[in-house]
This record gives sequence, structure tokens and C-alpha cells, in this order.
Amino acid sequence: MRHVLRVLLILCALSLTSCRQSAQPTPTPDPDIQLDWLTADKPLRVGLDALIFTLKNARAEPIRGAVVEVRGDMTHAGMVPVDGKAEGGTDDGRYVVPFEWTMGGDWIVTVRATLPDGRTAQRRYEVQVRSR
Amino acid sequence: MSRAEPLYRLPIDALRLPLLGRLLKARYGRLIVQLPLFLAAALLIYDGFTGEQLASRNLATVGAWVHYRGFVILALLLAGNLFCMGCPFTLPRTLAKRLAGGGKRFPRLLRNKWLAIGGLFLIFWLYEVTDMWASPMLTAWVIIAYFVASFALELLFSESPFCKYVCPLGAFNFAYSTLSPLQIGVRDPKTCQTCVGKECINGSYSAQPVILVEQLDARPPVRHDSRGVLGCGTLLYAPQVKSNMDCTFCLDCARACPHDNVILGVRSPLRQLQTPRSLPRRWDVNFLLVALAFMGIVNAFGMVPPVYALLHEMALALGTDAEWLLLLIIFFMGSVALPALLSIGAAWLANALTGKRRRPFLLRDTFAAFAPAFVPIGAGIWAAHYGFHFVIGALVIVPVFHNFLLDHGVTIFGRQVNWQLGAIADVEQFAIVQVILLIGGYLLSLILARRIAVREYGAARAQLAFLPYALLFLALLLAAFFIFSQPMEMRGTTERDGLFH
Repeated sequence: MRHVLRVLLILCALSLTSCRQSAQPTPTPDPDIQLDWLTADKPLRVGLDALIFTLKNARAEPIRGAVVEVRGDMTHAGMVPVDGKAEGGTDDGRYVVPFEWTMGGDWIVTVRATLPDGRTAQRRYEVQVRSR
Repeated sequence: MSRAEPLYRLPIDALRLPLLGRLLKARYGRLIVQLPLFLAAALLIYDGFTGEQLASRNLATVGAWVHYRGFVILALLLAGNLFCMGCPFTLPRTLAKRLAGGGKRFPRLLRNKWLAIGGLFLIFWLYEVTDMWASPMLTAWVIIAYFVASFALELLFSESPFCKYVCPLGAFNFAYSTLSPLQIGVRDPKTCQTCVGKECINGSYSAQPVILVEQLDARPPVRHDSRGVLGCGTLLYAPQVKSNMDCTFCLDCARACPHDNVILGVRSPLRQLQTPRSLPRRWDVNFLLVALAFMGIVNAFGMVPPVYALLHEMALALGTDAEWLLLLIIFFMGSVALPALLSIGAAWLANALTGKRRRPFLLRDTFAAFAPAFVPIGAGIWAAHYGFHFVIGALVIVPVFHNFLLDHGVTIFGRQVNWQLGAIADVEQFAIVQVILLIGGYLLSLILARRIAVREYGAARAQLAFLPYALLFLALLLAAFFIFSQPMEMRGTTERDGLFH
């Protein structure tokens, strides 16, 4: 009986992993949307910055009217994430997101674009930010 | 102070405090502290494997690298070795102890602190090489490794070798609990002299008593039930305890004592460190105290920009960008070679300057006499470092746990996570606290070294013996100031485009 209970406990613990479902599920990427960070190669420094993203459709035509949300997480635990947002965009599909790099180090930048028709695109970048 | 005088003050006994004292001494008193930490460890492992692999959003990394480290140093300075008291890794260890029913003693060659020093070195080095701070899954594996090692060693050997000789966290706690205000002792040493069973170390009804007795006391004031109680896991005999070194604060001795003679006394934090021979005059124990102060510097150095410049220069000079090798060189030099060279050099210089007579083990004795003086400055460095992480990230646990609950469909706290919760104090203001911690530790180390010099060399020659240590502590303080004045830059140690560029 004891062995059966132990096995059941282990199975319960293992099954917990399958119960888990992220509160913010990753949306299915839409292959028709191209989301790019134009200034991704620029050296990054601690302080205020403007991150420029472009949104284009499959025919490389700019997309306007979308909402681009940026979330920056440091790779070290205990750091408050930084959020940024841009809406509407310019005629050439550019979205300028005001953003502040609060500390030097490794950052994971998650960019999510929501189009007016509800379609979404998401990309993740790993970048290094130097202190001043 | 005579050597017979206890290090603690008798009138204050934490075990006699209302409610708390009874709780701590209760049969399952330790379990009450351990169970929440055991559940927390299980939660960290679970989230480490199943949660989002983002350090700032996972309970494993936030719990281990922000809260555990912050609370440990705070508890050591304000109370005592509370983490070892509530250590969750010892729960399966206790099970192993009962399953094994005794076992061999740990190999004589390994009955010292060298393994623990090696473990500390390994964990600090791996922390940088593997970017452990950035990986919830790796952090979870480390927690599992602790559980497995603790269980396996207890199954094979008696004397709790994991706690006493292996555990790097325990070694850290042992070293800095020498500065703690609480210590195990006895109310009346005469009671121990006439005690027949020595249950504080033997346990009651022990199959393998450590101190052999012919018969148990016929009518002890405190009777144990047929299950008996464990004696000291690390084989410390309560009336002879002169130091918190090796004491896990498990309070088994207090529970086992049939005369209710064991106390948790309050003492002056510096008292033990300035008492001669409160620690054994062994290289290993004393090197642990010295090395930890230097490890504090090296560990903090790993997260400021100059380390990347150094790695770059080393890569060019040595013609390799093998990150593990370059970090191994930095960590070995900073945590092992430099502390050994400088502290032994200071001991040699103190003897040479004072013209101390030659006798066997002279260098070792001087090294051991001054080693406790490294504890306050080391504690200041660690508190400044871990305190910083704790202060800027203490409240992050709230959104991370909220998010964890939402991931499991628990919405009692609402569906919106407030990710902006983080610091409990302004970083600029905490810089002042860091300065106070560093200078405070430095001054206490100076005071201790001066008192030790007077004790060992006499007032006339004390200044000469004190000089090398004063210079060494100043160098440590300046190194700490340099590192803590740098902007924090927590990145993986390898440049994205390689160390050569």
C-alpha cells in the first residue's frame, strides 16, 4: 500500500507539470507579418533610448495602426522589468518606442505587435547594455 | 577573560523565552521551521523546471539568488545560523540517518574544511561560468544536487559529514555565525560533569554512543519517550562548545539534555572572535575565514565592468577565449592563491617584525590567531553585496508568485500582475548603507587584530605585529570600495562577439 501511495504521489507531482499553462500564452506567430528592430545592432547604454521597430506584411508593405509593446527583462533575478509602447506608427511602418535601460548587463527584450485586425507577431532579442 | 568563563551571558537564554523557547525545544520544533523551507525548496525546483526560463520571472532564481542570500546574511548578523536550523536539505538526511542506523565515520583525511572550501570555490566559479543566476533550470538542479548529496552522505557515514565537512552553504554559515549574537552553551557546567548519559551528544537510546557510559541516569529530570532523541549531529559536546563553528543550531542537544541544562545564550558578537582558541588552530578552519573575505571580493568583481576588461586582456595575452579557463584563473588567484599568500605572508611578517621566538608551528599559530579578524570585514563585504540584491529586488517575489498562481489558474489575487514591484529602498540610499557596512567591518577587523596582537605579542610589540594585518585589511577595503563604486553590469561573462574583439 505504501509503495502504491508513493507511486501515486510521484505521478501527481509529475502531472502538475502538465497542469501548468502560462497566464500570458505566446500567440501563434503570423508568417505574414515581419517585425524587425531597426536599431538592434546599435551599442546600447544605460539611460533613456528610443527603440525603432518596423512592421511589414508579406509583400513588404508597411503596416500602420498597430500597437507595438516592448518588455525588457534583465537576465538576473530581482530586477524590475521595463515596459514601452508605441501606437499607430508612421507611414513607412516605423514604431518608435521610448524605453529606459535601467541597468547595465544582459537583457531579454520581448516585442509584441498587435495589428488592428487582431493578428499578432512576437520576437525576442537578447542584448547587452553597457553602463555609462 | 579566563578560558573557563563562558562566551555567552547566562541570564539571557533564548530557549526560555515565552512561547518561542517552548516551540524551539519541542520535539518537532525544528520541523516547524524546516517544513516551510522544504516546501519552498520544492516550489523552487518545480518552477525552475516548469516555469518561464527567465530569471527575473521565475521563483527558482528569485528565491535562491535574491531572497535566500539576503536573509542568510541578515540572520547571521542579527541572530545566528538560522538557515542551518531550518535547512530543508537535512530533512531527507534525517531519513537517511534512520535508514542507515549508524554507518562508518567520514574518512579521516577528509575530516576538515578543505572539501567545503573547495565546494565554495567550485560554486562561485560555476556561478559565473554557467551564468547560474540567469538559469532557473540550472538553479533547480543545484537545489536537487544539495538534497542528493546530503542524503547520500548521511546514508553512508555517521557524524553528519555533509553539514560538517562538505556543504558550502553550511561552511559560509559556520564562518559568519562566529560573529552572531547567539550561541549554544550550558547553564551549569557541573551538571555536565556528573551527567552519566551525555545525551546532548549521544542522543538518548543511541545504538552507537559517542561518549560511552555504563548506565543511564536513573532519574533524569526530563524523560524521553521510547522513540528517543538525536544527539548533536556534528558531534559537539555542549559544555565544551566555544564557538558557533560546526553548530547547525538544530537544538538536538537542548532537546536531548535530560537535565534541561543546555541554553541558547546571548553574547557579544566580537567575544568569540577575540577569545584565544575559541577555534582550533588548524590551517583548514582558519583559511576558511580568510578565504571567504577574499571570495566576497571576487564574487562581487564578477558583476562589474572591469572583469570584462580583464577577461579581454587575458584572452589576448594567453591566446585563448576559453571562458571557463580564464575565469578559473581569476577565481583561483583571487579566492585561493592571493588569500593564502597574503595572510601567510602577513603572519610571517608579524613574526619577523616582532622577533618572536622560533617554536614548532609558529607560522600556523600566528596565522590561526589572526584569522578570526578577517570575519568582520568579510561579513561587511558579503552584506554589502547580498544586501544590494535584496534591497533592489525584495518585492519582485510578489509579482513572480502572483504570476505563478495565475499560471495554475489561481485568480484570488486578481488577474493583473504588478511587475513594477521591486525595490524596498532607494539604490542611492543603500549605497550609504554599503559604505557603513564596509567601513564598519573594516574597523571591527582592525580592533580585533589589534587586540589579538596585544594578546599574542604583548603591548610593547603589538604595533609591529598589527601592522601587516592593518595594511591587508586596508587593501581589502579599498578593493571593496573600488568594486562597489562601479556600476553593476550583470551580463554573461563571454562577449557576444567573443573575448578577442
